[in-house]
Amino acid sequence: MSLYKTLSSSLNWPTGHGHPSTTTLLTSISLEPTHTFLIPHFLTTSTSDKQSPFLLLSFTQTLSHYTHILRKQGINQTKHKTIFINALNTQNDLGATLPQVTRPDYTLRRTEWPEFFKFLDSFKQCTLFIDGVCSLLDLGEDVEVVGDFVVGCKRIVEGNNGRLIVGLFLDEFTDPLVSRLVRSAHYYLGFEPLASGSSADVSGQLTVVPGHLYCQVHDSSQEFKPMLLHYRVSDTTVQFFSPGQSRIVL
Amino acid sequence: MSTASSLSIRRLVTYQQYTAPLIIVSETAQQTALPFLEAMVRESLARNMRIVAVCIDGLPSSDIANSPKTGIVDQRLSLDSILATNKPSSAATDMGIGAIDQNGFSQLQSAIDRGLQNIQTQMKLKSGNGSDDGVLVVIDSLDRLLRSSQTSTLMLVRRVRQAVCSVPKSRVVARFSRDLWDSKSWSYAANALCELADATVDVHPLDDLRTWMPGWYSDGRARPFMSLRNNDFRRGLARLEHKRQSGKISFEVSSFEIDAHSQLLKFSAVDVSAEPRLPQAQTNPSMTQAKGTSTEQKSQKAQPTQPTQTAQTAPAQQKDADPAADLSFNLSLTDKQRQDRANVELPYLNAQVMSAGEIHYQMDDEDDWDSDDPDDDLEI
Repeated sequence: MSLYKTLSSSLNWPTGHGHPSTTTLLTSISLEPTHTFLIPHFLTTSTSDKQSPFLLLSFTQTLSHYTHILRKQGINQTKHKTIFINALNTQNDLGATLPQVTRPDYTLRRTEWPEFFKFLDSFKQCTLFIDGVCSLLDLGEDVEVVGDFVVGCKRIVEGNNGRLIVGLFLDEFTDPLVSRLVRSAHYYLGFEPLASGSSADVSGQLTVVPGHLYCQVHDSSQEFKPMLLHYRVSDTTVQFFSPGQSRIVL
Repeated sequence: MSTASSLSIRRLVTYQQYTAPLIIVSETAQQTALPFLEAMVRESLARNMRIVAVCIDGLPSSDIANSPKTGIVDQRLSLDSILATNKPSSAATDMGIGAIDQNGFSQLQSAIDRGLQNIQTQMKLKSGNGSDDGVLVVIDSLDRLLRSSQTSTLMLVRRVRQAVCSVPKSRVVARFSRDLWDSKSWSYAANALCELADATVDVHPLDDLRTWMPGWYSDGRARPFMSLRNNDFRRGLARLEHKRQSGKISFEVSSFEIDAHSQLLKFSAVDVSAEPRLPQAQTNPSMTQAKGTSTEQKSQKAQPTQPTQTAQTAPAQQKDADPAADLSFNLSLTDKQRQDRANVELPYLNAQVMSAGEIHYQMDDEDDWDSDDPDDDLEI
């Protein structure tokens, strides 16, 4: 069951997300990573059958950050099969110092990518959400290296009939990486500030267009519709609406 | 403006012209060329051609991959190489997981040659004397090859083109991204690739058309990375650069649409030099009709980017005939005013009319008039 029903119906996603074996690319332009409030949506959608695990790989935040987001949205994390992969802090004694609730299930280190790929290959029909992969560019990694890492995750996840979602920050430094990743994506969701200026009633706009690989998804009954949506972030939820159709605006 | 049936790109895609053995289809992040490429492949399959699909970044759509006439050369990033990679982090030396070394290029060349030989053998067995159907080699895409080694990629493309030229009615089509990197070496490789190609098709989003029209100017705002009409998987713009064997290079811009049922390409002519429609201006009937019309046409043709100026030239001709026509105050004279004006006797008028133009000068006391000719001492 998807969390944001308006978003699912607007994009013609009856199941709440795209087809199996697809990749979705999320970008945010503002300083706040606004794409992270889609994590609860994909979490509830992918774990609705209680068989498919949801893997969250983060390069920018700790587990407690996402736990706080889920709690705000009224989602009990323990009821969903969630696996958190920490790529932010790679200290060896991290697991021992943190309490059990905030302890990551796996720690990804730069020199242990093959082990991580084998760990990822053990999950079938999973949903992998990679948050903040552009941080690797800040650490000095080359665009090709980061792009190949994502492509490697994509091959493994899609080969197991799962879904890959990649969220990153878009600016002039990450533009080459985003240009590379959009060529491996089936869907592109771009979060931007409102084009007409800031507003207290509308937090921003979401541009949804097909990715380069969407033409290979042949399903006339579930045809994806490019769309421009506005959204408003409140304390406990996010509302999506067509431009000018918000109850607050009307 | 050329019609759709006379478009060069249509003749190329539908194999009415075989003068382009190597076609490079380029794309950007804002508009993919993959639907265009796959539509060309489907066009070839519809014409009973054999397909050798060299898959470097991804497999083709299922209908193409499952066709009995398609041979797949799978050179994608293998799972074994992904699981076995263990390169240390070094921005200077790490080429990434997907890098291809010289051995990989040799294996790729051998795989393509084997694919071509297999198809030629099948065609000969089928018809006995060699089939006339032809072969289409599709390389999707060149990006990973160029990242690994630009020189080896150019050599590979040249060799594949030479191999395909030996098979009648055959062609190589390769997809390539023209906006991935901003370095000089990438642009050098891109230029070299386009020099090798017999035809280059640049795919653009439909929104780019208005920026090519005369009279368009930017409002100064930065364009978003992705807008609503980007990556349309059914429509787009195609800019063709076709190098003919005679040495002539022709350029053409057209829009394409992929039919939802047949998945084949339809092209429409686009005129980017079209002038915006101008309002019909009234000409002064006192002026010569032919001369005035030709002047208007010349003024329109000379200033295609300034429609307001052209619209203003016709009313300007009216103003020359009657400059006081459009003023807010009245400069015209009544009949009585005109008569009174004519009855005014101007001073010194009679003196000007009566005299023959002589000058009467009265000398002062200080003047020393010399009546001699100052040129008397000249011996000319």
